[in-house]
Amino acid sequence: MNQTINAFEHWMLNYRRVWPGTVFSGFAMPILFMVGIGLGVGAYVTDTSSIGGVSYVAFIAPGLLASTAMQVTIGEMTWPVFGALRWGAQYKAMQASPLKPIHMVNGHLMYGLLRGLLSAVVFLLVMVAFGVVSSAWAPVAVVPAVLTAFSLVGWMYAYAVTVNFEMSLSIVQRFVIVPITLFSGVFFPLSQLPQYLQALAWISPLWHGAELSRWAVNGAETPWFWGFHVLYLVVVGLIGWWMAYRRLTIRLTY
Amino acid sequence: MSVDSPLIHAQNLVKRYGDFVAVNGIDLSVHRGEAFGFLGANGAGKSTTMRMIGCVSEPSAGDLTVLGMDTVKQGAEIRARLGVVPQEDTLDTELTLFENLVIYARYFGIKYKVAKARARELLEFVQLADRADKLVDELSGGMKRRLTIARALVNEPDVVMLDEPTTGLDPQARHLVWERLFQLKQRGITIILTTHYMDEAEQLCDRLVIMDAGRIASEGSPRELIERHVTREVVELRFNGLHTDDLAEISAKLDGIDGQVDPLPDRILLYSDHAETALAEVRARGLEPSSVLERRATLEDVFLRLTGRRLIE
Amino acid sequence: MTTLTVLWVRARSLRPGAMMERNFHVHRRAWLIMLTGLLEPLFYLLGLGIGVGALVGEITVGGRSYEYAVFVAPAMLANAAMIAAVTETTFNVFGKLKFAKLYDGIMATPMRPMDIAWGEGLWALVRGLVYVVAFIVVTAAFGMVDSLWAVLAVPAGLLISAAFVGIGLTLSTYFKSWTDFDWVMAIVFVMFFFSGTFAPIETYPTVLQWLVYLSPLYHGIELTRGAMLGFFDPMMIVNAVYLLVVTAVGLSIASRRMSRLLYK
Repeated sequence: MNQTINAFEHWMLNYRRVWPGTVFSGFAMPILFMVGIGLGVGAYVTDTSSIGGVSYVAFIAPGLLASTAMQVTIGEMTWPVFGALRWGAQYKAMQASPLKPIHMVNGHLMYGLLRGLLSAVVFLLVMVAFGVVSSAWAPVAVVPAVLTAFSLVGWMYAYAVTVNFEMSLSIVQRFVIVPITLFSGVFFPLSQLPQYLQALAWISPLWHGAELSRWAVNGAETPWFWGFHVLYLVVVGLIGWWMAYRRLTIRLTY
Repeated sequence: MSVDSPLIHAQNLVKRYGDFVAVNGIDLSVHRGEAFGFLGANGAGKSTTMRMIGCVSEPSAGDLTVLGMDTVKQGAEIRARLGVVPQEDTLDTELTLFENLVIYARYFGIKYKVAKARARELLEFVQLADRADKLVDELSGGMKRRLTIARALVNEPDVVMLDEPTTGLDPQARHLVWERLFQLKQRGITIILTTHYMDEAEQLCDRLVIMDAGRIASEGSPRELIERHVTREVVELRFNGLHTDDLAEISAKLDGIDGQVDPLPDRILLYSDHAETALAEVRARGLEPSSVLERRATLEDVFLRLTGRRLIE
Repeated sequence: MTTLTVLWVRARSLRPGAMMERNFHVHRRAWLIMLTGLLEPLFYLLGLGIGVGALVGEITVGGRSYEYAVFVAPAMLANAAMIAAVTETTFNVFGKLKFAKLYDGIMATPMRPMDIAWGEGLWALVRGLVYVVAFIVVTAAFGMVDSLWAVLAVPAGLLISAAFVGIGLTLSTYFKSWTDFDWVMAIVFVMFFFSGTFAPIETYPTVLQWLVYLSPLYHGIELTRGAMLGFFDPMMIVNAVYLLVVTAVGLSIASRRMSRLLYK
């Protein structure tokens, strides 16, 4: 446990150096979505029956909360992981210390989750400022947001550890992360999609996270029993975590 | 331009960067077919001079013509006839070895077909033909250097300029580079190179200048420089178990001997045209060195004499 | 004399051509990354245009109302043209300039800094052109294009790319490290959201509207929207001139800066 904390601390110290660059993705970007899409497009959404009778911006806010936590965490697991393994000497240095791969994985993933948690909290405050929070239960929405991040954090890490070209990172960002963000019921209810696409969206952790988050913030009932949504996110996340550990071990001993 | 007018001619050439004077009024001329060297420590102004000759740096003052053309006004025309091997590799890491040469030829406006034929030939010349389709990143340092040399030849240049061509290479790689440069020299290509390896300069250069702090400290063939600045022979005297201070004392005792005495921290150098007589004199004065080495003077001795032993970085 | 002139012109235009040829060789191996630049705006079009469009219904522009997706599509096309130019002239050019030292190597050939700048710029235009044409074909296949005037979106897209080539090249010559790119991406994103992309800017407060007028992307979207929806507004001449001015200013600063950096 101590050694996991050592690895975690390494990344926290690193963050103290690079945080200004992260302000945009963690803070400004969700506000842009809120204003540009929520208010801008929302002005033209007159019939709110399909989104549970709330204003459009109030409809997308909880989903954006989960989406922001997911994106920030995953962002930490792309170039920073790839770079620390290949360009920087950070992993080489850790390898020369008593840290084992499992500690390195735990430390790095926990750091990623912490970043997601922080941005979720910040975004919750933004939501309060926008006046889209109607339930005292809203702070609970941070939990599904972090769970969404948790479900994908290991997968992304495993991918970044495995690939050989930087290009592969942009590709997963644009082919996987962007579609997940756009088609997980954050910006419009899944019922707008054809049946087969809806089934596809059920795979997306963000859909489960967004529905749970909406339940906490707006009191909108979840499509499935809430426990199923939570279970799904936890199981996917645990498999991912294990994958991350496997891939790093292979990479470091290769 | 007549046959015997110099290929490169510089007069009172100066380069300043703000307050710093990198090149401080040098004159030189290089003739067709010559292998000409710039010798000097890091920061002596060699690379800056090379960049000005290569038309990628404008002189702050003075005249510089290359192939009879003005380097400022006709840079592109001059560069078309130069082959440049820069100090740092500037190979295109996103291309294969073969593509590196072909595309580089295209920058010179060489036809695609000709470029491909030449690329194949040159990869053969630098012994990299078996790696033609690999990416540059997969090469070792020595291979990259050889590829850069091949790249510099792709336009069949009149002059090849090499900035520290063998720095950082292992002995095998150095010798392969030297062999290739020697072959170019035999083909009558004019070669200009900078180096801080004395053996490299002695092996390759017909004529060289020693640069120090932006000025030319001396000029001539390796032999001439040795004769002008140091004696023909050098005796190295070592005294085991003695400290640097003791050595200074001993060298004081050698005062008046036939030759110059130069005490170093670990040994004493005795420059003399007749090593035997000088050594006999040493023994006559009652000094018994633990080891004695008689050798011919080298460019290194010249260089150290002219530029001193301080480190310039 | 005329033959000499012809030869001179040919020599001048060939040099940027060699730079483009180099990029073509590199991208033959990286075509997938080029494809992603096209797919991203398509995802947005499908997700926001069609998905959100079902909630929005119709939107009125120039006295006629359009389906929301049809309204958003031209903005996505403009965005694709911008992304092509910006990624090519910032990330790629900066990497070659600062880290790969590629241009230092090229400077030992008859190529001049200006040739390098023009070659990179033209290559970015080619990439923009590919995106724009592909985008029009795809949207037409979805049935979102109903006027032949949509063809005019091609030159409009090229104008957008050109303006962002000028801006991107200039920025690259001023940048010091990769972290500077966080701000480029931030500005690109802000422009993407607030250039009349997802809603007409008439809904914005007046002060904000004036800020939007500064955005080259806004002027680009006005042009592509006019072309793809098949209407003409005299203001579109102003939009086009604005983009041309940005292009010219950007390119001239970039060429000069490039010379400063490469002739040391």
